[in-house]
Amino acid sequence: MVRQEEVAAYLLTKPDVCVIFVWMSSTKLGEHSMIMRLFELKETLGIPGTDLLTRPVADRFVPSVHLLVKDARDTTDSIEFSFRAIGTADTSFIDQLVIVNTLDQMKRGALPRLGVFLSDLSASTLDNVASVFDQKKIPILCKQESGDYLLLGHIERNLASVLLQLIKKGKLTAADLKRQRGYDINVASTKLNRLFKLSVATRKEEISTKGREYVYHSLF
Amino acid sequence: MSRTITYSGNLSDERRFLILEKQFNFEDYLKGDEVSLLFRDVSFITPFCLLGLLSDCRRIFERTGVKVKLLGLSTACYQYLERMKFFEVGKDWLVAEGDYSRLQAWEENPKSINLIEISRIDQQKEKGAEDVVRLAGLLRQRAKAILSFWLGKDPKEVDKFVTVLSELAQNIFEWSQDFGYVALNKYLYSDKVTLNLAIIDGGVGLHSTVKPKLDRKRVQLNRPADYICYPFTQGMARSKGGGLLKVFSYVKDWNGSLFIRSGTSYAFKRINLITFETRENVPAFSGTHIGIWFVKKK
Repeated sequence: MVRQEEVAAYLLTKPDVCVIFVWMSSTKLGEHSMIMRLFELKETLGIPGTDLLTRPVADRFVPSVHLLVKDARDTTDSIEFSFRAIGTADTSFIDQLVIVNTLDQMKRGALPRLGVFLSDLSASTLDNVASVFDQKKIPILCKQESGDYLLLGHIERNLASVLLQLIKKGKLTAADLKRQRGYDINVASTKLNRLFKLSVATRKEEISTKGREYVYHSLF
Repeated sequence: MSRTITYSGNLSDERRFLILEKQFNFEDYLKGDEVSLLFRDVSFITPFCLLGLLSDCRRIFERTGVKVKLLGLSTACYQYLERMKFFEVGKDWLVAEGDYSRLQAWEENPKSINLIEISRIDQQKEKGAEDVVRLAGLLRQRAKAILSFWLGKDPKEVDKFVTVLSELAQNIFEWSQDFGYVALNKYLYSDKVTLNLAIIDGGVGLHSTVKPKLDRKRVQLNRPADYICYPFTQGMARSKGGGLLKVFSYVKDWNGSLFIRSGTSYAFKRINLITFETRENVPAFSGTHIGIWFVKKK
């Protein structure tokens, strides 16, 4: 893992970025997010122990998650899966709940597109999240109790650098990106749209003097 | 027809077990055949061999319809098998011959909780998942006794063992289409402390599950054994089974060994190595039989 100041250098040397940066932030990740507290939900579902294991157990969480995401559409733009008090969540559980039944459903249009991040992961859960997202070649943002923020999984180098820029600025439009990086407007728009589609950024349609445009926001 | 297969020496590792199994010739057994296993000088059986033996007795019984007789079990061995619930689980397929009635059973006490008795994992998904969750709870309860040599200064390391147990056990109901068993034991052998986790099912087998998936992706591997290594070394990225990649990564981190048997192949990752050695044309096994060993000098 690499500290914030090392990120730029790291991005320059690695062709594809995989699991990778950590930074301390004074801003608040998911200040306006809807929280899915997995431990409390586990208790409600009557699942014993402190662990979240297997796909069938993940399937039992799905109706609640879908309800929350559908309800959240009008009030928030991101959803937080809180792993507080969970001993370990295995790769199968994480894959089935977060990827197969949340991110993939958003991709297919079965759920509204929201930003998604994970929080308060134990060391082994963090390890498992990194492994499963890396394997599926998609990124995920995480927030730790310590105050560390992480981007785990896999993201292309050039897209990671745009995400980093979005995180630094807080919000960006395609026109901003064109101006700052010299991209063609279509390229800039595609890159920001991809971050939105990966659920590591959110977007709002705004009307300005230039007309309608999408403003992309960092999750924090 | 009556057949007796004699085995001498401890069933302390996977190779010795394969030697025993070479004598079985399952195809030759006919309805009504009486099969006996005579154990000479066997005072020790590891969980890996224990589950193999259990599965073999089931296969023999399915062909002959007659319970397999276990003869000549030493007192220590009998008590251990009983403590592991071997006779209880295999009561429909096997019977121990001999007078063990006066033997005191190993009590479940703080000294004998360094194991997880043979536990069934159901093939039905919801039930199988409940079995895995229950097993993980048992491992956490007994972690201090079972994992004392491995946890070191960080008790949270138990989370990783829970992950390994869970990922392996759930493959039984995700892939095998048959029920399976898990057993675990920490034991002293020679001057070493060994932790052996074993998992077995009699289902379709890792090879038969992985090959069609890779065929669809147009991935061709050279030998059958390569297919049983693949989910551990490459992962089944776009489908279920990614957890085995994580299992292999933890086994490497802790410098353990991993043995996988399916079909007529096996793959073995030894201590101090990070790759598999493989062998073809070993005694056929329709399901998947996995053993993990972590060894520390006492």
